[in-house]
Amino acid sequence: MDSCGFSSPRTECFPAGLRVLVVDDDPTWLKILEKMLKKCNYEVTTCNLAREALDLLRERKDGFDIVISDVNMPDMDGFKLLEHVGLEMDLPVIMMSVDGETSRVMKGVQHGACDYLLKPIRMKELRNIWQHVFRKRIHEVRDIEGHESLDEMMLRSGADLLDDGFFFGGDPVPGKKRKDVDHRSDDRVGGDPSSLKKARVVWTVELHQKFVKAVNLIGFEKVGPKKILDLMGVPWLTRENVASHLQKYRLYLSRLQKENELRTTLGGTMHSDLSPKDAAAGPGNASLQTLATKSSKQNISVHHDDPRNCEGIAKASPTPMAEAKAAEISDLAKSSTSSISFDRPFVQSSDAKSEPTIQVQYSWSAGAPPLQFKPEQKPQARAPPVGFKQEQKPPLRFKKEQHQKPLFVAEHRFDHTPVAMHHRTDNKTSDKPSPAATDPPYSKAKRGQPSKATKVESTAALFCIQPESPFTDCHTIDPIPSSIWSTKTSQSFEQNLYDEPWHINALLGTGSALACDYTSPYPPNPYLGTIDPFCFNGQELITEVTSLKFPLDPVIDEGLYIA
Amino acid sequence: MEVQLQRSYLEYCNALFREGFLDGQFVQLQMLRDDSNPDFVMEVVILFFEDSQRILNELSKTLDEQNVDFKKIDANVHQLKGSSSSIGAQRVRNACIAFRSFCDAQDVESCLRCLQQVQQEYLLVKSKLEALLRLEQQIVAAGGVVPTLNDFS
Repeated sequence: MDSCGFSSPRTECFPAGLRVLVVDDDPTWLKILEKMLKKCNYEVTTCNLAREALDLLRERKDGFDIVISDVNMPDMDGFKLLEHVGLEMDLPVIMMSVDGETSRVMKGVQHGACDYLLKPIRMKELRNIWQHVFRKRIHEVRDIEGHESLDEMMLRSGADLLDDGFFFGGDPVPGKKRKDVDHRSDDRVGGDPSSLKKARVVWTVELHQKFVKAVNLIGFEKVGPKKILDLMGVPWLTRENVASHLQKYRLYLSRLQKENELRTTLGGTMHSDLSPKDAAAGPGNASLQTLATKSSKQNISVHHDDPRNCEGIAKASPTPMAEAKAAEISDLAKSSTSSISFDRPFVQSSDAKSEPTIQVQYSWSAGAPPLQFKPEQKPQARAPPVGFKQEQKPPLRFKKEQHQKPLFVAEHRFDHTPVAMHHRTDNKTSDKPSPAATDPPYSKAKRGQPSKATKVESTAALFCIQPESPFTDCHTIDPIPSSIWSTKTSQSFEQNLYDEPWHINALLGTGSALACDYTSPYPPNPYLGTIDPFCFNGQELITEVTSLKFPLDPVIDEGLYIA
Repeated sequence: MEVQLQRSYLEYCNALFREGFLDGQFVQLQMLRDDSNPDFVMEVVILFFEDSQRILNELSKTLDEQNVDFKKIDANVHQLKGSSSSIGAQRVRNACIAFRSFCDAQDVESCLRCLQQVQQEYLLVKSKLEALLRLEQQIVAAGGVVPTLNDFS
């Protein structure tokens, strides 16, 4: 796994370092599972007794992220354990059994299991368990924030919000609280971030704006978490919070940049408005702002600086929005990367439009077209981890734009983040249609895509709007994601992907991972360099993707591939 | 020399797969072996042997009792089914599945027969695995690398 490069705990390389507790009375399985999980770069603790496991969990309240337990155990019924864990610790629990009878599985689900694995368990199945952790966190954030944008994002984009960790501005208009989708711990909602189970930091619009201001003041090139923290003057914020947020931000920007590049490369309609001016705006903030201003329609930047915008854009007519978004994105990307040369190619590209929006969703890389996605993906991917820790507040949400293309975003999300996964299973259908509905360009993009992979496809479609364009790459990326979440379905694909330790994760969570390793034509991006946020070895993935990429008709290919 | 051994090893493995003694899960295990844990497969297999023996003894004992506790039998067979699936001992697993159905019927005679069947399959796969591991050791001793199997599953 690539190193995250970030020193933050776990979140940096999410899902690497995921703390898993395995409970199984079968010593052989315990040993095998331990080894498999370790291979996934998870932190494993094993227990062969349910009682012991409960004690351990109670002892270390915040010591685990997820529990995997066998159903049949001598001292306690696995379902009982499941109940206890759910009630007391509220951790996601995965059940396992060699018995796959529907009634058992149903019982598991009824008792609150977030998944039920059949033995023999394959490595690839374990690789994706992080999605459950991620999903839970997103929902928690949602509960806490009660922002509609968050909800919407989640719903549409598969809750990539957290992924990107950037809930830039665009986030729900303050005051317009949406009821939580998940009505989880309602008592937690509205509580101060530190009271959250994991003391997540909620990056509100205001907070994010402070952040961006600080970044711009310091100068994007010279920025560092400590400096930012000092400038921001927020007492309860820690260096780690800022560090992970910065990381996400960078990813976002790089993604935008990539998207822009893609767009340019693709020959998409570069949004002139985005142009150099924005790029020149200066890293981060500047670009964002420019984007914001420029593309009021575009949510991209708007999100960042102008949540309102984002929202509006998202909601605005898809096409223009897309454009705007794309522009925004590109702008943002451009400016942020300070070398943004592409206009929002993403946006431009036929489907690109949708891309931008989608990109936004990603939170940073709203429109990262296929290619873009790759790199962007990473950031996004990273976002989840960050998101995890932080309840990304609207400000960071680029979601706004995403809204625009929920489809897009969602798609993307699916690809890399658990959100996608989870969408896949649950919202796939819902996601797909909605985005499509909102995003005509998207549908365009989708044309090439068979409906197979639920989200992936859509995203792929989105990304791959331009078969000829780099999007195809994205497309390739998509396939991966789809495969990822269509684990169940695309065995073969999965094989490929899953074989690579983090490819899948990369794909899913961090689309950017792909992007990162992706030998994109984009100019080297400072952030891109760090895109590997999720520490996944997108390398392989990228390789695969690249081979796929730029196929003339990648979308279609991908579709098939994915399927 | 090791090439010869490797070839024999592969042939042997393929035969085992063909005959249903082992399935794709075993390949998964092989893939988990790495430099940090070269004896991984062997360790797992040994664990399997120990655990299986224990369960089989339990089953024997339970079936020997006056009032056979079928619930217990079922639980044990289920356990054995689980652990055999962990290393891919397909035939043992299948025997367990059959065993369970007779358990439901609460037929002691059939259960005894099933137990015998399971024991037989277990001993068979045990000897095969031991032979396999021996081959592996020979290969390593000769300075070679144990070839990776293709996933048949």
